[in-house]
Amino acid sequence: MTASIPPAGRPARGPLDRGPDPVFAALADPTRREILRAVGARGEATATELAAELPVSRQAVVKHLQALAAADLVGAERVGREQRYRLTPAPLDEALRWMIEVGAAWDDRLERLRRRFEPPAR
Amino acid sequence: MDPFTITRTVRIDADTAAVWASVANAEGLAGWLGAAVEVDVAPGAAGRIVAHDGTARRLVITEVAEHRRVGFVWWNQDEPADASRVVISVEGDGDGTRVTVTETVDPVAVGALGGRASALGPAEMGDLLGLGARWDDRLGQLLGAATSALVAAGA
Repeated sequence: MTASIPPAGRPARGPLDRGPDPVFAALADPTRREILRAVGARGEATATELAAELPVSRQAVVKHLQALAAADLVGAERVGREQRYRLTPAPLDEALRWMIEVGAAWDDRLERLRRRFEPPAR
Repeated sequence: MDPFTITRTVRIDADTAAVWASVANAEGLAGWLGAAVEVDVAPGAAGRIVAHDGTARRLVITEVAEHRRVGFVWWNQDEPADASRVVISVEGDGDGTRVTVTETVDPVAVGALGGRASALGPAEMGDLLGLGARWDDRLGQLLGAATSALVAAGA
């Protein structure tokens, strides 16, 4: 009978490992998450546009956008007198994307398995 | 926590033998693991799965521990470099059964991912995604509506 196939070695950590991590720190603040969400929803935005939409002063928005830019979660381009910001999800790279998709797929599969034994009440 | 490993678990109100029957053979796996499953659940056996979204996968069973665990390597038929290892474990939990799944990117496939560690270190990744928590609850708390935009933009 065939023996079980042994697992290969663990992947080495790559050149991006550093800490404390600016991406996680950037995402940990709820106002910054809201700003990131708003930039994502609009496609691109200036600090003035975001301050008009959110209960945050323009000055605070600028500081948050700078933190997000330092974490490479947004990129800025000067258009006229203001910077226009857009999402640049490079730090949320393939590994996180994979985890999002694979995690969701397993949630769906395990839910189907569970419902086989616990059908929803009608 | 390994950033390239996902773990999910579910508790089912059914006895372990009944749940094991849904893991131990293709007939049991069909309908939940994939829409269609063709494989002899025995070490070394190769097979096919058609996922619920229609994608075709190949798999090779790597281990079977009777009434406890099935392990396999699988990959999208069109992307053989992106293989991952899956282990499905079944254990009694009171008068119910707990099913735990882990999926780990095969290191060979890390090269296909660009060989990069995530900008989020392993500890942060684990905290971000919450071992055993629903991904959308944890990630949703942190990213909200930006998630789909971020994932889509990263394509």
